Amino acid sequence: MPRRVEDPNWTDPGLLVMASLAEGSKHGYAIIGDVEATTGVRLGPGTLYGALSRLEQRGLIEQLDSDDPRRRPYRLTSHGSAVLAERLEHMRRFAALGRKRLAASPTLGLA
Amino acid sequence: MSTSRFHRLILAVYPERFRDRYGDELATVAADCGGGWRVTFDLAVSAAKARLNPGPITSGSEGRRLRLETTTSTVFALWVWSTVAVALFARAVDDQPVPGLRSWGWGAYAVGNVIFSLSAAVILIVGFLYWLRVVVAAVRTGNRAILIPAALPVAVVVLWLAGTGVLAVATNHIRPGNYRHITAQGPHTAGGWALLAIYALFTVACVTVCTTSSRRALREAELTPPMLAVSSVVAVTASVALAAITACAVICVTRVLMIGGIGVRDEMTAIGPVCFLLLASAAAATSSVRGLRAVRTGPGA
Repeated sequence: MPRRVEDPNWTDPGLLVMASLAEGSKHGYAIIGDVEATTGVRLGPGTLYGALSRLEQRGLIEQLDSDDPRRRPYRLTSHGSAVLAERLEHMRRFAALGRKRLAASPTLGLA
Repeated sequence: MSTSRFHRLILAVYPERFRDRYGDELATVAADCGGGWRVTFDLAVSAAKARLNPGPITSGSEGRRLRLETTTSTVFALWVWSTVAVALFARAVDDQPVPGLRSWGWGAYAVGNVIFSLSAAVILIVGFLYWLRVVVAAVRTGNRAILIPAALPVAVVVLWLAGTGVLAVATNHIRPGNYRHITAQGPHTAGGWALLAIYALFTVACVTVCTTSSRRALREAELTPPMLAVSSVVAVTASVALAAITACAVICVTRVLMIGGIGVRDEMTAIGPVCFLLLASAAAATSSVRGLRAVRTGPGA
């Protein structure tokens, strides 16, 4: 069954890349460094460019012009920003639901 | 071989359109990451994924076309390689009849052979019709970019048949009773092993050239969407046949291993192709499902 776009797949490389690009345009190695620094996930170069190609195919990111063809930056499109916002909102609701249930649990309740 | 050179080799496995778009960047980032087995493994796995699911920067009808081309050529290549695996498997369990295999193990083997023969007939007929369509159009327009990769497989098959004939002469197989180097039980001299190794390499090279040039001809020919859709349906048929053959081979090899008596070398000769068939079936099924989705709803489904 195809994954729905709003599924909370926390380690999806595409989501990590989009979240990184939400800060501003970056080239490939900068995305790897940013994702590792913020989430601890080390994306491999093949995984990164597989995700970039899928995101570009869906119109969620776009490639920017650059003098150096080996380090071309990418940025979120407006459609990509909307999709990212929707996914993050879905994840926020999911996290809130989990916290609420934990708090209500008599044995696992949060302090 | 240096790591960067090894990475370049892996990059060559990626689809051409992916390399054109991301190749330089990917090589640079791989070098920036410092190499290592994790980077190498990541590149290799991603190359396989990119082959099975082409994604680069296409959408709409172009993306659908790319998806269907990929499904057709991927399943065709897997099927051609599987014929080699099936031949090896048959060599292990059939050339030396396994004592006691005349039961469900043999039944599975026979059913697998029938399915394989029928699927081969369908694929060869449809493939030949498509080949004619591509070649005739290329001859009319004088398009060498299509004609050369379309004609190359025919030349290679002729060359392979000639090589097989030379091997038969070299091993005296055409004169029974005088098997100097290779007998029915396999090579038993260093010369026999060398001949067999050369022949195996020659066969692998021929199959590689045939599948890659067919893929290129298919891409250059730019078949109409209905033709690509039909070829994808044939690819699904081939995938189903491949899955059925694999199931039969698994049943048969299980029975062979239960009975024993064919020797460790032949057991390995049987198990190796079955493992390949399992992987090829899974890859063909994945590619076919994606092709069917593209036929129904477009590549983004």
